Amino acid sequence: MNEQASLLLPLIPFIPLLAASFVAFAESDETGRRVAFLTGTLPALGLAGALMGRLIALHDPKAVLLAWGGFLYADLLTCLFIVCTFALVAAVGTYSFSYMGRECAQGIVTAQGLKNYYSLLLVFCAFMTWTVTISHLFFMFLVVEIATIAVSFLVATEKTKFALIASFKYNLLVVMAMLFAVMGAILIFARMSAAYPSLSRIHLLEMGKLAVLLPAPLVLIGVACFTCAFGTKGGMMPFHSWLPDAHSEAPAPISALLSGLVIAIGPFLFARTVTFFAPRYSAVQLFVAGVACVSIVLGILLSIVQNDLKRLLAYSSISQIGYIFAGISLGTYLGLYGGFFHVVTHLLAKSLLFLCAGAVIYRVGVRRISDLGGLARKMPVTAFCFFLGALSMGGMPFLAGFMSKYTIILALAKARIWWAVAIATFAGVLTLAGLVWAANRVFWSEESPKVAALAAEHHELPLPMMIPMVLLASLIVLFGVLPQSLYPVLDGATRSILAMLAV
Amino acid sequence: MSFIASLLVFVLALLAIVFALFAVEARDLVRSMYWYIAHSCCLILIYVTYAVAVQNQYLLIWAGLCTVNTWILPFLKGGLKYTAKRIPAESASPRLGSLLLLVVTVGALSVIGFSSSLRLVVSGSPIDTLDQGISLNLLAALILFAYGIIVLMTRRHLFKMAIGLLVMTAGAHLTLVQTAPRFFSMVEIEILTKVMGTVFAMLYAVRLLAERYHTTDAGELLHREEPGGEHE
Repeated sequence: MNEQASLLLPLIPFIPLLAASFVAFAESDETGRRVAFLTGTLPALGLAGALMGRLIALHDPKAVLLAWGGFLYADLLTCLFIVCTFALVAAVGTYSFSYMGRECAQGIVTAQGLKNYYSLLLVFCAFMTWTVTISHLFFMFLVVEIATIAVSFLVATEKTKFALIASFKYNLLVVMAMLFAVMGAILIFARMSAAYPSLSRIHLLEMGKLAVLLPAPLVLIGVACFTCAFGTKGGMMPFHSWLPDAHSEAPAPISALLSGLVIAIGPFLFARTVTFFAPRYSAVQLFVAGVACVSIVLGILLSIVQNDLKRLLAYSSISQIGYIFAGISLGTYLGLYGGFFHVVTHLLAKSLLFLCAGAVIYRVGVRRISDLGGLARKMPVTAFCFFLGALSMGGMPFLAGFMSKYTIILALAKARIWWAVAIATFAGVLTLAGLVWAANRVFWSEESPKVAALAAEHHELPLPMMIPMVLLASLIVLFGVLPQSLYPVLDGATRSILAMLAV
Repeated sequence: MSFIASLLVFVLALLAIVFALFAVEARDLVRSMYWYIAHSCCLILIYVTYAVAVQNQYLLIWAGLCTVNTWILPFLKGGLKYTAKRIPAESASPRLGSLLLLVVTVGALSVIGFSSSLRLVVSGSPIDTLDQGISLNLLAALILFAYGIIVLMTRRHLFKMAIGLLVMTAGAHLTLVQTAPRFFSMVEIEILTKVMGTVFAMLYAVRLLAERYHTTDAGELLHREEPGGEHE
């Protein structure tokens, strides 16, 4: 390991935390709160970018930045997640300036509720950063749960019956899942501490080393516990039951955050633990690939029968998370690369789709697909962005989603898991058909009475809502046309996992 | 560990299972909370016993934190007692099946325990290289964990589901203590405090639901009307 000390790494989470305390406790008007929010996210994004640049410049897959005596670490995979976190939260927060501002004006959310909303977003940022940087397994579970609490309050922002139930369910299932992860870790910890009395902690950077030494039955039980736990966190079938409720009942910006980022933590934790065992046990590869394929197919089948736009997108996320798990579980270069690539492209496309759904709710006030239609004339930019997101998610060439899906399918083919290749390809076609059908139904079909009653406005959406949507759409096109622009980061992230595997 | 310590831990683990069952089955929610506290006290005593038996000071700190969790947090605003007083009690009567399960479990564990001198080594187990083998007490911890899962899957009262989660957590912590009692450090202690935070968040949602819909039964809630019409 090429270990280097970093002073920036421990600083990053404190920036959003400081901003969160300002938003929560300082007497400030709406503008002050917005400035504090952006001050809590954008500088941290810059610092995370600087860390990423430093690691790329080292050209060493074994390079890792350490702080606090190895308690915090960062390789390129970590940096990728930190950058994604701050970028998406900044986008979602900006979008919320108008979206949540109007909910507050309508009395759906109180002024105090709005304050809490921005503070919780910033707290979430800080704990997400710690989730991906803390090297101690048990401590990582602790910060995952604190991030979970923040998200559960965000899901319940509107305090409707279904939002509260969704929040309760999310909390319950994710904590239950984390307890399974703790049990898996206990099994490994107990065995290791018996064999190595000097061992006092499970260090994530040493998981590769430990994986070689563990007996097969223990590995299989531990992997089953971890898969169950991180599958639940990621919303993979059959552990997905919290996901459709939370996604559909949360405010649209939070749905974007949930789908783009929160569920991506499942695959991240999976890559940091189970992937180390996968190459040594073909049964693990097949088991996870099988569960992932069930998720891919059932997710998209359940998605296309939904009449609720946000639920349709939520079920589609279950399908897409299956692709990510399928890739990462292989533990090969191509599988990991495709998995991480799909994390990024799914983050871009699905966040965009949820923000577009939010824009529709903002203008029309409904989210039932049967109540919508012919919106393209009144919301041309939203229609274009939604269509672009749908095409990318469906794997259309020259858009970001194509290359990532193609890489995962190629990885499955190279691993000779042909049934998974067939399922992933078939589900890709279904995804394209399902999402394009939804786009057509909402934006281009016959104008519904609710849409016809809308007054033609000069601006289809306020600027703070429009900017994040256009930015996400531009990135989808950029990474679709120039997928190599992400190569240094994804290659480094993949090699950092492989370097630990080879220990 | 000495026979006396093993016996003490075994009896306390059995009591913890019994009290967990009472906490879940009690119709009155405040009483349910007190049963949960009794259950937690058994766990605290187990941690103290282990701390003395294996001479690990961190386990004493863990026991101290657990005492705070048991005797202070449930009585704070927003905690278990605060919520129990503000939400409707469970309408369903205690289940005979649960009591039967309790009798069978405790009976089976006692018979196996005393016939094997409180030591049950399962050969070929993943942790069979531990110097003590799998103790009967570990089995009790796993039963507690499994019981928590059963409660979460079968109960519809949201308060009882929160209790189920706490019981499941207790099972996980007990497993951790029993499998590696000598290898604790401060950081492992942190995992004890986390679930309480989650439970506070869950209880907040439960109270809001009870205030508006006058029920905390998950099944009934779905059929209750949204006050002031359905919000989209």
